Amino acid sequence: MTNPIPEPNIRDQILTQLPAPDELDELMSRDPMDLQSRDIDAIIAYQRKQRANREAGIKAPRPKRGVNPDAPKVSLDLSALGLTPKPAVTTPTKPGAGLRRI
Amino acid sequence: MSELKISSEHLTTGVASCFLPGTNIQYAYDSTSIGYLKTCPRLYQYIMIEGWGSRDESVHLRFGIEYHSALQDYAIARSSGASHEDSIRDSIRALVQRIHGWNPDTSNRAGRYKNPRTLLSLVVDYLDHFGDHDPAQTIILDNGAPAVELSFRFELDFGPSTAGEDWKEGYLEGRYPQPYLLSGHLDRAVDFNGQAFVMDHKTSTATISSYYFDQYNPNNQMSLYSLAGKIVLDAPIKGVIISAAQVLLEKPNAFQRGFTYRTDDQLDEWLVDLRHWLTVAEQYAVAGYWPQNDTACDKFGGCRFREVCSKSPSVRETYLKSSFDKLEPDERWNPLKSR
Repeated sequence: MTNPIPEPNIRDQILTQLPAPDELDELMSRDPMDLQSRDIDAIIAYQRKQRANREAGIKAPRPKRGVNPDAPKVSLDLSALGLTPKPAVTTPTKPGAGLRRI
Repeated sequence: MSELKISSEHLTTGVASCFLPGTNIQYAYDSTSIGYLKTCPRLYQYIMIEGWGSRDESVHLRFGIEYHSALQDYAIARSSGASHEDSIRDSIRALVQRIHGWNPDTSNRAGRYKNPRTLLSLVVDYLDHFGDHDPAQTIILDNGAPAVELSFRFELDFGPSTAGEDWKEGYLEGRYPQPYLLSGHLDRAVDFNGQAFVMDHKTSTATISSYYFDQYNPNNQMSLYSLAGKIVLDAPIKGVIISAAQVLLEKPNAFQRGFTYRTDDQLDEWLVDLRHWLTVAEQYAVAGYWPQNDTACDKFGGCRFREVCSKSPSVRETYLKSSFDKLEPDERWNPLKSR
């Protein structure tokens, strides 16, 4: 006996069949006069997929600002550079140091 | 959709200066310029008289204009009989064409929340939310077009040089030929449960709560729109439905609507007050001096010119030039510009 295969609901279809996140950038970068109806549909579908993800609590991966994800990773040896971290020193707060002239 | 007669004579076309020739006396006002004047005469001076604008401001303005246009395109398509899906496709196609090349700086808060990606997301979400299930029905004009993005313009029964009581007589004799004009754009006129309302779309990055809607009564813009709705639609407009959209980056965009009502007495009072405000504006223009209202600098998250006004008067021009662009006269905010 086999379990019946459940029919995918609309949300599942959206989550599994629609374009990857970076496809929107690709579509948006094209000459808009060259976009076909299927491209417009893909843009709309992308937004609906994003909404479904947000409603499901799935965060879209976002690249960190100023970071190139394709750059090679480099490990730094601070001691070899003579930059061994020093222990933190706390200085007593002077009276009036919290005041700022505006 | 409901059918209602509209007075097309009040709808606008063409652009002219909103100032009397050779003066700083503004005769054509919209809610934005009245708002500047009421908030702070110096703010009014910087924007309306001198034409200073900021880059951040243009992001908000562009985002709002494109959002309104997209919803308008959808309403027009629906009124022609197109389905929801076909209408949304028309709207998004036109939107993608308009915003191609728009590349706001997303390293600041304004650009992070208001950019092409968030705009597309907001439009699709709004249309999926309200498109097929909107309890507010767009009124259809007598020419068959949907009542969306209606640019209006109407005259008041007074004009510049109203300090004397003889203006009306002078106007009739042609001595004061230019009355004040009020103009603006109504996003949409709707029938809601058998009553006519103006609908105004707002986008915000703030949480939309009852506190958010409280700001619209009393409110200069909503009073003007209620008045304009009565005149343009020649209908007993009850007030304005504020259709607010909150732009969110990680949660789903949120949509809420609130009602703000205006009685005839309230609108009469608003007009009496306006007469006083415009008389004062004329006096500022004649004197060539627009004083600071230093109780308004921290309102609405802080005035964009606060840093400039905090400096000594002798160096303000330098700070203005470093933080703002001086727009050409035809690029400045003009209440007579039709969309």
